[in-house]
Amino acid sequence: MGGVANLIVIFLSIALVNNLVFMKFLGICPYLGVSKKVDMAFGMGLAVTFVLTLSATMTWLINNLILVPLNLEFTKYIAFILVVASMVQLVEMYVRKFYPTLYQSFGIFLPLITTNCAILGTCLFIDLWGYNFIEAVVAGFGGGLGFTMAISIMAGIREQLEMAEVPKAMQGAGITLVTAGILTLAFMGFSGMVR
Amino acid sequence: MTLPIMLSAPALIVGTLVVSTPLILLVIGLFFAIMLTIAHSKLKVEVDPRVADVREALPAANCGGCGYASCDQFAEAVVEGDVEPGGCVVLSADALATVAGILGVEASTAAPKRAIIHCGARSNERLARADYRGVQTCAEMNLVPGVQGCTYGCLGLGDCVNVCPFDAIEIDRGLPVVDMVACTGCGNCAEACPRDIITMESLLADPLVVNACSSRDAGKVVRGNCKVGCIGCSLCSKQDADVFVMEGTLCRVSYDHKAYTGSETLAVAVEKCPTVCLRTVGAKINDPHDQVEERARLKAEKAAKATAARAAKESAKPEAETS
Repeated sequence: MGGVANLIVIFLSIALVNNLVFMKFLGICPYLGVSKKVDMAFGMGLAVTFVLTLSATMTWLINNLILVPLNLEFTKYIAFILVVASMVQLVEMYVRKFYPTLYQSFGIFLPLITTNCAILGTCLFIDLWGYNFIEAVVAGFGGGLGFTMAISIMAGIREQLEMAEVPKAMQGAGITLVTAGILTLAFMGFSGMVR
Repeated sequence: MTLPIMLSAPALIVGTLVVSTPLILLVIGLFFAIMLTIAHSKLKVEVDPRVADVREALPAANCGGCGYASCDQFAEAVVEGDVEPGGCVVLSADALATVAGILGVEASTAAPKRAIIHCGARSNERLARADYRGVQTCAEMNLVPGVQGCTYGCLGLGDCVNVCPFDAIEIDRGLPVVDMVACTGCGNCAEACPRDIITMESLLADPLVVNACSSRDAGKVVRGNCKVGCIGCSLCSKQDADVFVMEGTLCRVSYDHKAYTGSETLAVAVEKCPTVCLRTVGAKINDPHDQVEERARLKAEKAAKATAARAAKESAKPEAETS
């Protein structure tokens, strides 16, 4: 497969077909936790994209340049989490400096990106699928954008739900989970298009 | 000879792994530590250290009573001088002093706000014109005209009780009673009351003199509707016109700090009030309405004493004549 075409396929694959939230069920915590307002959800998505792209790059480098040559691949999880945590710290400093309002609305969820399984999961998938460096960067970026799309769609629906009359037993978490399920079903339509 | 060599080969690998694994991870960790340190020095946000201290002293309830979304934002506003520390309605006196100490200012003398009920008539003391059987909320009942004689007074269905997050109000025989200790002055009840008989006032003194009536009707009408309403006699105003301000036929107690705390005739005014609508509330007063019964008891005692004295006088007269 040609270089650019291959990258486009990888990008679409991880953003739509193998969407982290809808297909891999990763990153459900912020997906349900920070999806009340569209602007907040979008900001969260961008923060995750940023962290994910950086982490995918760094973990690929560390895995292939340090861990594999030294036969230390079994420490992958520890090393990757170290990278993710450092990246989140970096993003937190950056957001706090340049977007104070966004920083306040994130609250606890910004540090919680550290334990966002979408990020560690993507880094491990990249290793599992045997991507090269450029492919890893594209996959990290695509995964982040896919997450942003998922959380923004969810937030848009939940904003509309605020005005809907929801039966009492279904209010809150109930209707949110049902919505998430239907959204996932819709995105199942993409499945099998790309490996 | 071969046995030790065979054993030592895997042992050597394990040995190197045991040493090298933590070493490599340490190097990676160190790399990120240095990177973050550099980033921290470049991206540092200068935060006033007092903000964190003030935040620490606040109740951290994020109740929104101050008008800010969170205690964090309130702390920032306090440090920047946008708002007084007393703006936090649930701040205790000790915490207020702490905050004032952090800011290096004198703790403002602003007394904590408390809910004051401006109606003092239990359901048996106010005239009921009809039997209300609608939806059991004050807001609904208020829409139906002519149920109650007094169009200003409490309806007694407890909308204020339902919105109180601190369980500080309860309805006793058709009249809400505020627990002045539990009340934090959040103002939810004042908002919920459809007749606006609850106001948030500074608890300038404990006990505090209040006028437990909101009726702006003329004295005669009030007398017909209620046994304990304010009839606009202005006896209290004659004691201290700065504190007891007559607004038409209703006395309003002014909680102006200087006027109220400076007045010496508060107790006299309360005693002179003919309908006991002037009452005292406070932390030690379980139910201000007790003062109505107390006054009635005193009056009865006085009357009994007078009759007894008269009887004694009359019985003494014939004795004097016979001797």
